Amino acid sequence: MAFRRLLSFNHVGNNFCRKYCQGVASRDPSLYFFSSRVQELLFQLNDRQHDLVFKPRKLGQKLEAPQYVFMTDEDLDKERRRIEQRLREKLQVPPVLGPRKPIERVLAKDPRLEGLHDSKLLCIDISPDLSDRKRMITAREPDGTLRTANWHERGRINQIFLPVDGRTVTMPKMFEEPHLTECLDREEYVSVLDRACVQFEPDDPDYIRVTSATYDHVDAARLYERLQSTRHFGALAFYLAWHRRIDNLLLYFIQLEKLDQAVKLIHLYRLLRSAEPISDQTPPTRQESSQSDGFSSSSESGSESESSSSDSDSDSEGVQLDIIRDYIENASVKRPVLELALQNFQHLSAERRRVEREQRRADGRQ
Amino acid sequence: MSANELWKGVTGVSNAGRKRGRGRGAGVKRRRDLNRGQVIGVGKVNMMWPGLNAPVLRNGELVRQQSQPRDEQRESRLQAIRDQFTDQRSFKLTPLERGWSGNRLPGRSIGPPDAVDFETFEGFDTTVLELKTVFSMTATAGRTRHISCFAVTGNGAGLVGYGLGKGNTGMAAIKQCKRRAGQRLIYVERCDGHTVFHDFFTRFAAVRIFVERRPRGHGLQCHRAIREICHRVGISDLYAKVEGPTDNVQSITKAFFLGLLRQRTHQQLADEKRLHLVELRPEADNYPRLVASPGGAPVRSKEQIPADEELDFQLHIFEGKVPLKMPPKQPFYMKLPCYQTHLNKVKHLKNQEQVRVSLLAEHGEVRSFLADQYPECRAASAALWAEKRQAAEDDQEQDEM
Repeated sequence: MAFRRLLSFNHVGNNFCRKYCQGVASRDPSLYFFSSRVQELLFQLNDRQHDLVFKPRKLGQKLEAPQYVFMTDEDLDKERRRIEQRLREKLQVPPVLGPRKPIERVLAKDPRLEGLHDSKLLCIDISPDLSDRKRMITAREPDGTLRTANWHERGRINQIFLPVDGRTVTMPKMFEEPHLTECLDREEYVSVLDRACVQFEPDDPDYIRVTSATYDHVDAARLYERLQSTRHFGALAFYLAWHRRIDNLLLYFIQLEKLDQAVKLIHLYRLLRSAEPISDQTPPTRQESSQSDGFSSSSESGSESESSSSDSDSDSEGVQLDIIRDYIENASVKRPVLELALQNFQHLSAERRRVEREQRRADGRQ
Repeated sequence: MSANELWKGVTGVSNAGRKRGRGRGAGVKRRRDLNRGQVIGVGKVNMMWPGLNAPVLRNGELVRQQSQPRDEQRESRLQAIRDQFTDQRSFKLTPLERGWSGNRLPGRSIGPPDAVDFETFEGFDTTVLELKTVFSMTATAGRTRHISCFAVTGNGAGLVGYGLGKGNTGMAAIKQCKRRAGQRLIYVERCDGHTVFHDFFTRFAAVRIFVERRPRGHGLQCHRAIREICHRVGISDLYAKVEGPTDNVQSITKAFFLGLLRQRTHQQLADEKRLHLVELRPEADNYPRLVASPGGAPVRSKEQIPADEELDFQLHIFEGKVPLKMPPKQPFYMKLPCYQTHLNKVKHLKNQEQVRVSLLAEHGEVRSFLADQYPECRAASAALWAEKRQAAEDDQEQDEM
């Protein structure tokens, strides 16, 4: 029965809280996620193509003809800076938190109230200046117990009295099986993730379950480009690095000759493996600083091709190849595939350099 | 009396009457050839006449006159043949071929202009905008009648032209106007291949047209003549308001053509202002897309722009004028106090449709939390659909097994 299904949801959701704690001794990802170094890496790993980030979206609104504005060079620069700021906002990665802990607490027991009501009563403080997570919500059971509401009840009551646009009171069917798998099989990753961000809080076990299932599906299908230039790519990279499954994504970067992205991914993996959570006060390691000297992060696009023939670039390419090779030898699972890909890249890049040299020689003679 | 004389007597119209158009149209008696369907020698009396409708000798023997049984169907057969030629057949047009009204030509296509020398007018199509009978008084013949045809031709890719033709017959007028339309082609620039570059105002004679650019997919929301011209030009999204005589198709066409020719492309605007032209789309989060930069001269800086210069795009396009936009007219009852009473009465129904849809989506039926306790409150169809759903699920499970 549909109504009974709703009641059982709370206990089903709690079983998935183990996902982020598997095999890593219940580490809290939020202690690593919010560090500025990790955030910068997640931003740099994204393609950040303007025409995809600012794609015209059909959201059921009435279309109007575009506006035109005359601008000087200064106005144009100001707009470009505003766009960079807006890009950062749009590509802000949804927070990665561990699953939330239960917050039920019995406030009072009044057995004399038993039989007064045949259903549970919930009370909510609807003062507008309170945070939805902090506002007081209590429940009176039919047997007279007065307790604080659990997370499931809190979510429902908050949505009824202080609704968030786009959220439903009960969880949409698309987040349950088999519908979730059907959506993912249709490769609707971005819409599933966008709706999950609206529907759930980041520490909701259902949010963690849905996003983990999506990232696993993307990783299995190798369809990383679907999430590129969206805010979910950073979350995907964090998830894969946290669970030590970066090999497929690394292979994707190497095959696309995006060596600096590959190096950033390895760097993220190393940061998340460290036993102590990173604080912004910890000084960067020697490796990190050498990387930051070698290649400056470009603002327009994060993936410059490494096929320049000047010496300094080939040196930095050498450094990048060393870092990648070091990871492949020591930490990778799919070692032969990655080594082959790296070999192919080196061969291609050497061929390219040779052709360019001959071209220059030919031009010089002419 | 001969057939001609008999028929003239029945259907005849005097010369004066003919000039006034009598003896035309539906319901008038038309002459019919009564010989059709008849054979010599066969009539009401069915007889075999050797030498006429039978051979004289058959097997060496003389054939004799013989009466044959009456042909009952002869009358009705002849009548059917005669009816065939009497009805003025009104031919049916498919919706795509149809013009603006009935089977009339205005709004209908008359094909591309005829080829001249090497110009084959490939990809062109012509639409008739007006076909009318015009009279003029002449010194010798008095009132003379001509047919006037006004049409527009175009290839859907920016080339378009209009032409006026007059002739004694419709065909002559159409031919002349099609030829002239093909001789007087202009090239119209379109923005993104589907609309005008900017809103504009245009006028010719007493006709005034306010044209507005619309986004892709909007369609042509305008006077039917302007719609046909847009089809020929290749504009698919536009709004146009015609003020003044809306029946003067020729003036409307000329006004619209003037407006299209006077359009300024993005590059022209950037060049004349010596400033960058940037496009902002609300659906793309107002991302500033640079569409044109000044070509020859460098971009002006803020200091070089005089304080009184018009920098607003719409005001620059309309040269300081602003089209008057009246607020949409509200129905009379919205001002009355009883309307508020009505709104209060129906406000609980406002969300009803959405609630029904979400209940159906979630539970498969429209129900309340009391439906389990009071089964008689459930919809009669609910149980039936629950059964069907269960049967479908069972079938699916069986298929999987």
